[in-house]
Amino acid sequence: MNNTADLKEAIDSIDQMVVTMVSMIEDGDFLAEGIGTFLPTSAYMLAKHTHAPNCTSLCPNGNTLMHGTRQLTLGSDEFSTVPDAMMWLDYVQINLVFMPTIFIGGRPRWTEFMRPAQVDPWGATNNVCIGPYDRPRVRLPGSAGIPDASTVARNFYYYVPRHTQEVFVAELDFCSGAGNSRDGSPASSPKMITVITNLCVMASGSRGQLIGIALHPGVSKAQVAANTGFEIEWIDSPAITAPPSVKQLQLLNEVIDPLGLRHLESLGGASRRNRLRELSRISKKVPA
Amino acid sequence: MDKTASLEAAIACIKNGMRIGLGGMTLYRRPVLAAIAIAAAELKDLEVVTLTGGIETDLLVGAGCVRTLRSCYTGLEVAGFAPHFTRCIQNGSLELIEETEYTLSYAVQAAAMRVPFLPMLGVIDQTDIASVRKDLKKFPCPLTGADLYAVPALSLDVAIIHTSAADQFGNCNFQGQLGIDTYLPMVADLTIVTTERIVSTDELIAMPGAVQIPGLTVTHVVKAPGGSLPTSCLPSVSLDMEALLDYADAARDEKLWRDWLSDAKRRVVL
Repeated sequence: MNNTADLKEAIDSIDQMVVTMVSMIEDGDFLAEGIGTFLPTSAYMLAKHTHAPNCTSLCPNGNTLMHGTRQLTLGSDEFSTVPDAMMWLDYVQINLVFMPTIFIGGRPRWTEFMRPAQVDPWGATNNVCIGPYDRPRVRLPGSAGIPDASTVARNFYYYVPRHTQEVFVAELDFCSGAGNSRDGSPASSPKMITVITNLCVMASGSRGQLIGIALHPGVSKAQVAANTGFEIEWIDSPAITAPPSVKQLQLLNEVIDPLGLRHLESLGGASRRNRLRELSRISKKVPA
Repeated sequence: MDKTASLEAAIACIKNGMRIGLGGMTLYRRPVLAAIAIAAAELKDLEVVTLTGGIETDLLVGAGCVRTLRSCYTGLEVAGFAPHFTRCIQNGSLELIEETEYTLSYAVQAAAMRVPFLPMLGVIDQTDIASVRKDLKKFPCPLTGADLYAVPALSLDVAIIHTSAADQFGNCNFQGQLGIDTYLPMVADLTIVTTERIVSTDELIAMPGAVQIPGLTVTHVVKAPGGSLPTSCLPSVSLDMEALLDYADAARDEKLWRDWLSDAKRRVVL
């Protein structure tokens, strides 16, 4: 971030993404948090504070099932979840029992927003490598459970805080998240893949390819096109997403995430590490 | 039987080329001190198995101890990429067996069951995972004919786990993130536990979660307060974010890394 205007724009687009996620959460959903993914976790907490108080969260920092809400912390979520958990699981129980039951069994409705490094026109994703697998230009941390979940779930959500041509590519370098079949045969019923970006919302069309369904306020289709590495179709009248309300912003800034940890998601590399150092100092001054 | 041991004696059981499993998850309860002791002992050609690799795995890669890594994610979580892992995969000096959460869970569960494999649904073919995992063998389900993959059982030579507390017999309590740690001793020939505190069995049973790993599967108990730092160990040790960021910076620079590693090695007396 070079100047205040850029920073303000990034902050606004993060909160816009948060409230767009909130609008997709239904009361009673099983909300699976990522680890260190503050943006969707902010959305889950906001949904629980407002229209969806009956959701259960799976908090992977302690693998706990949690009712209720909590304030986001920098690296101590485990301490604020485990002692209050309804249930406390290990990863074999999660992977061999809970996840298959939910993904394949289909109940309860499971909602999780995952962050991909690349997305192709059919909603397939990559979190493994940029460039050839054997000698990648950039090795990414890895795909964790995305291959397991994306191949069986009927509904799948992604989020992309920086919508660029490097993320939205015609061909993936490696497929670690299953998309829809490229043959686009109308007989096959495509899974519903939804991608929320800092510019727009895309979702699987009837042939399975991603199409634009909504724009964030002030964003044009041309802006999306210029930042997408493949041609994108739009529904006839794309919606304009609702901006955050005063109440939503108040809950985010004062109750859920006063440190602004969700804004880390618009930063990468050294600028993220520098911000983490600042936040670490700030959070030490805040009494627990 | 009293299983308390020095870190030196415990680490001396690990030989070059062994397959070792590391407990904890991302930034939680990682056996960092044990990893530093392995680096100080200059062990080579290890195969490291960990559901997710963090600083403990990355420092072993940076110290040149690791030939092969099995994990479904290796990184410093909120602090970004694991620098040595990233660099060594990119330059071809580290072999990675590309796991998913399921493949590694199935492999460990199969080893615990003493069956040669567990079947995984063939739908993983919608991704490129199977194309880089030739050890996963496709076969038709004998009941339905549908495609399945056989995920081979994976046992360990040594499991290394950091715990909140243990007694002298190897019974362990830990709280917070469990990872796959309670399964690792079941599939390992040796299990080394480093622990914040050595307490009586009665004290252990009174703790939240009580005994998570039974002592009969543990071979070494090493007292190592702060042995997970900079990662956390509920309930007594919080994540040290600044130390983690210092690591992330040091691991990106040749000189800073040499200094970080020699300072770290001084933390362990071998």
